[in-house]
Amino acid sequence: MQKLMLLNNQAPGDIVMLTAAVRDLHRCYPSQFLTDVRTNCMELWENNPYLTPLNITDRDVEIVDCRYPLFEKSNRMPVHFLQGFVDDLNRKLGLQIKISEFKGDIHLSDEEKGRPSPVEERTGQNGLYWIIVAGGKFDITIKWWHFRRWQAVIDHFRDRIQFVQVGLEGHYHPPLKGVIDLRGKTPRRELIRLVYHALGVLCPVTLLMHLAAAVETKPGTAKSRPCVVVAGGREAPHWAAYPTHQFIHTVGTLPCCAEGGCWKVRTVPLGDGDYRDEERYLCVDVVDGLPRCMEMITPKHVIPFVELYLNQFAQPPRAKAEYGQPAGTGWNLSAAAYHAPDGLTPHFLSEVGPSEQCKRVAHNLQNPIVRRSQCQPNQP
Amino acid sequence: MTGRSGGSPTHSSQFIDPRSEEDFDPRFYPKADGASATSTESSDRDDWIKLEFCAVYYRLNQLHAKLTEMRGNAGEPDGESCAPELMQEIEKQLRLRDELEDRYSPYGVIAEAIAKDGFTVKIKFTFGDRTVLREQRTRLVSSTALIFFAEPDEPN
Repeated sequence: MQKLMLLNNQAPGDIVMLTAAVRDLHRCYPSQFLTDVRTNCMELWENNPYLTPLNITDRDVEIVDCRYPLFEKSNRMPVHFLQGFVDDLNRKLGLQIKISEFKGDIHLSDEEKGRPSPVEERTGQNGLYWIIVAGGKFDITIKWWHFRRWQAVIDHFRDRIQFVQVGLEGHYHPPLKGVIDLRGKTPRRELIRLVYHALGVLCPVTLLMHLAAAVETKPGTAKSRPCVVVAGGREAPHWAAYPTHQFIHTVGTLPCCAEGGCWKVRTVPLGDGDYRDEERYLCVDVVDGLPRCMEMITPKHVIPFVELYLNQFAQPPRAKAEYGQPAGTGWNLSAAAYHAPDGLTPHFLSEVGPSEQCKRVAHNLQNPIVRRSQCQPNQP
Repeated sequence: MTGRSGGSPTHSSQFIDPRSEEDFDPRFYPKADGASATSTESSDRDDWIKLEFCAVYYRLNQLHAKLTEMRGNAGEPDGESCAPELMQEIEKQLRLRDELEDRYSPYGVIAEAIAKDGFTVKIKFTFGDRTVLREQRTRLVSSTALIFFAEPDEPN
């Protein structure tokens, strides 16, 4: 059998894409390859059945530096990110691997699946929750949406969705109010378990959207995990979006992304000496500190997409049975609470008038940082 | 801000350091990352950002103290009905705080207010770009190169 050592040092989201390529290499060519990997974020490969420990210095081990130059064609061809590494392996190894599933390939052990969610382990409460990512890395700041806009979405779903905020320490993840704050507290495997237990994910284009698709859902729950992605105009939707996600983009609506994603990197130069501060990597249309493509997307656009999922799960008997939520446990998020009281009509704190704002000023002063949701666990 | 924003953000030219005012009350001036904010002589961008946030939270603390006192005197739990000017001033300062947050958020700056009894006692700052650079400088980088070549055939 041919021995392959696959190398890649890119971001975790890229590695999730590589897991799909390895899966489909073995599915298309069973018993013909032994594969091992040396990548960033090796935790994503734990429990992966397609890996065999190989010694990188053995002469019969072929080393493959995995890349996805296919992205350069993504504005001209109907290709998805999942095909990126597959295309690269096909060219480098003379193969014809085909993608078999529209997701990455992340595996949890039975022990991991049997454990309570990281939220329950930390708080003792086993309610339903969505994950929110309200920032990202400093290398691609153009993906960021304004934290007050994320906050408006959180506020809209107060008492209906418990959000859990995550984000890697050292990256930009401004604190949100009314969420369970797990920023900087979820090592990768814990993050994967967090996704496993999550009802949904709300995020920009980032690792979590790939995990939302790649991590299996719990038995008895929906077959695909809801995910709403605030994407803007950086990447063509057919390249980045998953079919069961709500991918909110502006490609085709602005001169800078009229023919596809702009693939720019930063909104403004950060002055950190990074090459990404160069003119050619910067957004060409910044409005109030946001790329225009992200500024065009408001909470009014995002909320209805979340509502779509909530309405899907709003049938009371079905919801309880599907989620296996025992009575008297968790947060007080009943199926009725999931149902939008006013249909798809969004309302925002930002739309509150001056007098109402004044009434809330004192409250805000008392609670400038609310780390925990006001949702209370049900009394037994 | 429309169009390309170049270079680092600039602080407001109208900035007034409350510490230079006659009625300055140090009890209301928050710590910046656990330390006193530097002087206005500093030319460092991060120092100026700290000064600006400390100033706005100082004024909010001042106003909160007034509001608390007024509530006590009026015997009203809400109090805002008898102090519309005060509430307007608080709202104005909150807007200034929001403007500061908006100005610096594209650069990854987070100013997280830590409150005690309704007063902001400390501001935790995160300056991402510098953090990343520091990480990159201190991170140990290892590199391995493997070169394979065929051994020459044994001579007959």
